Amino acid sequence: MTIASLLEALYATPLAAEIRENEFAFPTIETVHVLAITLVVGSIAVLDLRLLGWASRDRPVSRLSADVLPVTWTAFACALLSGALLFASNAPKYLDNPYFRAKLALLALVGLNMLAYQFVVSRDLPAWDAGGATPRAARLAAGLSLVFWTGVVTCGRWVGFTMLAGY
Amino acid sequence: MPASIEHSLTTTSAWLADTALSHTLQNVEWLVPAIQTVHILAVAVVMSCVLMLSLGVFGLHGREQPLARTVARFAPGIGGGLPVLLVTGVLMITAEPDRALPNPAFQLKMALLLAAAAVTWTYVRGLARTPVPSPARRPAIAVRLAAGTALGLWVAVLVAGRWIAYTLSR
Repeated sequence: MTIASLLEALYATPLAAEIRENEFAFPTIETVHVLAITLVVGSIAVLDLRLLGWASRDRPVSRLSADVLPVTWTAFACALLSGALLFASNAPKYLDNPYFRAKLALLALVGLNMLAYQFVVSRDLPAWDAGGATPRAARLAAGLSLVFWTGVVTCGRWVGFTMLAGY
Repeated sequence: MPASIEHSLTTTSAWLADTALSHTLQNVEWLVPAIQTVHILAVAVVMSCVLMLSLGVFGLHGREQPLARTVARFAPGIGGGLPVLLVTGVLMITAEPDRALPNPAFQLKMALLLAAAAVTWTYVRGLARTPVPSPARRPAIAVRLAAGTALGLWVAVLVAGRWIAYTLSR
């Protein structure tokens, strides 16, 4: 089965048809998606700004992570689910959209950056957790996170604008 | 809506759509989505700070520190994000006045925005004037209610905002 026929099969499912054709389904799911992504981006930015040393220097990185990451992950799960439903409504058209492809690529970069932070950069977290300057690698990861997420939001907005579903 | 207000909205809309700024915003294809993107990024800041502040007031994070620290961390994001939202919002209205001003979703959004800002400002100011005495004590029930109400109102502002695209009156 090719990807194209898979996407066509997805397009033909009753769920996809319902999201396309029900007047309220698409805007409702889209609203959940926007709310979720704003909470993902805003909450992760709190941590990024701490790692850059620009804000929240009065709170250890580990404590601030415990404060915001539950929000980030919950919102991310909602964004992923609502995004999958929006994608399913018209899969072939979305995958054909260059901004949608760019958004997926940026999300992959976000994931790689997070893994690099989690498993490499933050290994010596106890040494700089409570205060003082964060290492250059941590600041780089935080800066990249802000840039990639800004890119995700930008591409997402352009997907809406070029698909003309509702902008 | 009274006919006189309706009429002045239409007149304002027509005048705004004919300004040089509006023409530029209409003619440069990428300007409107770029402004919308900045608007959404500012929404991300405000919404996340509102949520973190409310969760802090509810005692769901940062319980081992004074609540004043949580307020000091997240309240500035709300105050800093709002002017950006105002400027980008005014630019979007200028680009397409007919899309916003007569639109019931936009009008509802503005009413909700005033309520959300008023409730948030009142309870954050109250917390600054009479801080919660120790991290072990929870804020008064009225403060927790206000934080929950503010959160609900801000979510409603976002929902009404997204719906502007789907309730075009033209």
